[in-house]
Amino acid sequence: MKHLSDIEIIDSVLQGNANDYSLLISRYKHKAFSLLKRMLKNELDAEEVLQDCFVKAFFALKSFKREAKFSTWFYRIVYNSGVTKLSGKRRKIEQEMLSIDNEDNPLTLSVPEKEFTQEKNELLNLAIQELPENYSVVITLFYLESMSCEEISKIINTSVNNVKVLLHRSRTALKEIISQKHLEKELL
Amino acid sequence: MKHLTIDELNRLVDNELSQQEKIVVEQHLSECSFCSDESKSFKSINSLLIEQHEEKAPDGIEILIM
Repeated sequence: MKHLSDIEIIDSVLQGNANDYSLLISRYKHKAFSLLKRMLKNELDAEEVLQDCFVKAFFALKSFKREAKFSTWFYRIVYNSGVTKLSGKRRKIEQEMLSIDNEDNPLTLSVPEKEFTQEKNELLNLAIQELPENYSVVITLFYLESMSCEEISKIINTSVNNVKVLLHRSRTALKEIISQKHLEKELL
Repeated sequence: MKHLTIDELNRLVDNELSQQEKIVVEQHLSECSFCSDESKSFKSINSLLIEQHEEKAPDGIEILIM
């Protein structure tokens, strides 16, 4: 079966073959889900936002300007939807925290000790989830999506230099988390 | 001995050091076990991130959307 480019799929969808949109979903669902799960740190929220992103992108396909790659355009939708969801979650948490005394909450991996024997990839995901949201976004787009710093800068709306700074800081922070959690032996 | 900065270690991993900087950094790494270990650690983090796998989206998401 011929491999269709993103643009060819979009053209087909816009010509009335709406079912072809499932090809784009299949192509991007895992990576977009990975990004959202790392941003939202919750599987159900990530799934809900992911569905929403594909629906939004479907209805906005006509407005997609082909100057940028579809992936860049789509990940902007994903990133912005993730940020919107996060701000809603933060508001909710702030309201809940009003009635709770602040406590020191040291950085911890929220898994029981026994799960530390899980596969390397799962341990890495857990460590990445401890990163601040902007760090995990940059690390995910750069490494999982193989995006350049320039593409990432367009998605998160910042300068290329700032993306590089975020990338450096996120690697440094990840190294510290791995060290704090004594995961060097398992991961490095 | 002045150690390498985090920025230098990161740029070493990203292969972004100038030729001149690279010579200075490699000379330092050959003499400083602390920075040499740090450099190995950053390279390992980079390899780990390169090798990572994406997470799988839940099954049937196409059906839910379409």
